[in-house]
Amino acid sequence: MERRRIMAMMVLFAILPLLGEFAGRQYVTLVIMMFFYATLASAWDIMGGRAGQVSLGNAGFLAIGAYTSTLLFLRFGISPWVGMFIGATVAGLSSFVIGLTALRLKGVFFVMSSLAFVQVVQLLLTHFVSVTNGDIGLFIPLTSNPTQMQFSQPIFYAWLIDGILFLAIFANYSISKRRIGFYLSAIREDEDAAQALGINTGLYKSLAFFISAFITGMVGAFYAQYFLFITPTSTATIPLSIQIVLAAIIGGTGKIWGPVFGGIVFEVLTYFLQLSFPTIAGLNYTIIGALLMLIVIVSPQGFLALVERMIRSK
Amino acid sequence: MTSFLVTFIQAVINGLLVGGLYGAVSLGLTLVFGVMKLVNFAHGEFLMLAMYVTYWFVVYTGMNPILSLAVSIPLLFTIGYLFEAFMLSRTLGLGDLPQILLTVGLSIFLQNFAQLLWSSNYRVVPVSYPNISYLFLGIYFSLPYLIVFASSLVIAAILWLFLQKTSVGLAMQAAAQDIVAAKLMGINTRSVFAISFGLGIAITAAAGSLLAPTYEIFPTIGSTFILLMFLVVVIGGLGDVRGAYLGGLILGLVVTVSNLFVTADLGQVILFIFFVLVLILRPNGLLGKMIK
Repeated sequence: MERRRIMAMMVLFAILPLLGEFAGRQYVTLVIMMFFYATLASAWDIMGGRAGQVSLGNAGFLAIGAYTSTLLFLRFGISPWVGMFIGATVAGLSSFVIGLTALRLKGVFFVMSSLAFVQVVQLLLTHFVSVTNGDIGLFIPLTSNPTQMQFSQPIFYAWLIDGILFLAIFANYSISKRRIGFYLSAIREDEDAAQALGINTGLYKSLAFFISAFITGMVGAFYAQYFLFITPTSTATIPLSIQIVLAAIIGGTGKIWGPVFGGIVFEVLTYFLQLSFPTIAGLNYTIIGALLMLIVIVSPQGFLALVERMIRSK
Repeated sequence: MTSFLVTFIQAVINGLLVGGLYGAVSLGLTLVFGVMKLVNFAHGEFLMLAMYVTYWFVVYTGMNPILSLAVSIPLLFTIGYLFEAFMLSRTLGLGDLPQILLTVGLSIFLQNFAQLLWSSNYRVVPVSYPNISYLFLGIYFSLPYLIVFASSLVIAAILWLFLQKTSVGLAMQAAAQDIVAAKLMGINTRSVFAISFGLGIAITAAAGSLLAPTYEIFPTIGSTFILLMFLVVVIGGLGDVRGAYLGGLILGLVVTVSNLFVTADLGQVILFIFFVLVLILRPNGLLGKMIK
């Protein structure tokens, strides 16, 4: 049943960017960014929703993925198709740095160390100028060569991020069907009880975090190839980390489709806010901050749950 | 060698003076955690608001920035009290996640609202402390640091007296130790929570107003302080008010002394590594008082 739904969604999401033939380039950009946030939120949810460990550090993984694949390409000529997976692996391994604290600590301590992680990644990327070009950032020369993960048609970028999105959805689905999924829910509900029942909570939290960071790292490589320009402050930033969490929360955490739709709703929302008030600096995020507070107060299970409840009550 | 010794002692003195300030901005955060078991991720934004209050106070009245305390303390106490009473209180008992998200949401909101109102330009309080240093035994003592250090001591002392000598303070301590027992003793914990949160914000506001003349003020200045505050309260042991002040002093020392050996941005990295190590090795703080 669920598998069939995933297939149906896969087809739908693959067709969605094709409508750009009629709706124009702006629409394709919107779809790409929708999938971008949906993937990040879905990957975040493996740790944040299923295991209940709120990471504010995911932008750090994105930055590591982006910089690894880009540096491998610029310095050694390794195609981003390979670099993407190397970057994802490095991002995944870096999750163990925060994971070290996650093994021993819960709740707010984990949030704090993940927050510090983003800051450290940004500082390191800025500091080692000879490697990362510091604040100036890295440019990827335009080649439009598909073997270097560059496309002249934006629709291919849409399909690329679509592919990563389905990897995230599939990871979420697989986890939910397997033993690890149940262990993670047990950790979320009561970590001490889970441990007392003999679940190796440290191991499963680290594993969930690794998968989450791996997929986020892949998105980082995509980000670099799509924008062809990365800086420490466009990737490893706390606001981006918060956007990822917000996207997942809007949709509702701990479910396969919640964060996916959350990401889509989030991008549509920011897109139209940007369109409506392009010149007023700060207004977008004032509204987004207020929205986050409102969702937590009104419907902690997410925006989708609220809509569902309203439909049901009619 | 002697010249290095002088530089070193100078760094230690500066570290202690700055550390007092780190302690003062973090007292409110640890107080709120101690009583409510809540980490306020928007704490830095309240510091930022207090700095803007002082800035506008001085711009409009032209009076001494210290007098702005009379505005910033009651104003931010009220904001904190109302936020707790109407929003935070709804998430208590629902676990960590809603509280984290609510305060993170507030932090984004305040940062961007400040940008909306006052733009992201750097602002400098027009009347600032005269930048003089006193030479004593070959060591320089800078006047702005001394003022900030002295006021941080005053803030800490007032808070200490409040917690020990007033009935509200004692009720807050009771709630911090055992919330159920406190309720059974007839303490209105809901109002204690709101007052604690307001007070935590007010202390930070006091520190912010005193700091405002020595800093450039901009909407995201809070986020440059928040990790520092976390570090301070974690070193001191979350919820331990005396520990936070001591944590501030330790951190001040780590910052200035490490700056003797590495550049400032790498010093930041060392700071974070120190933070993570403390989290892993001594999660109850370097001073190690066990808190549940």
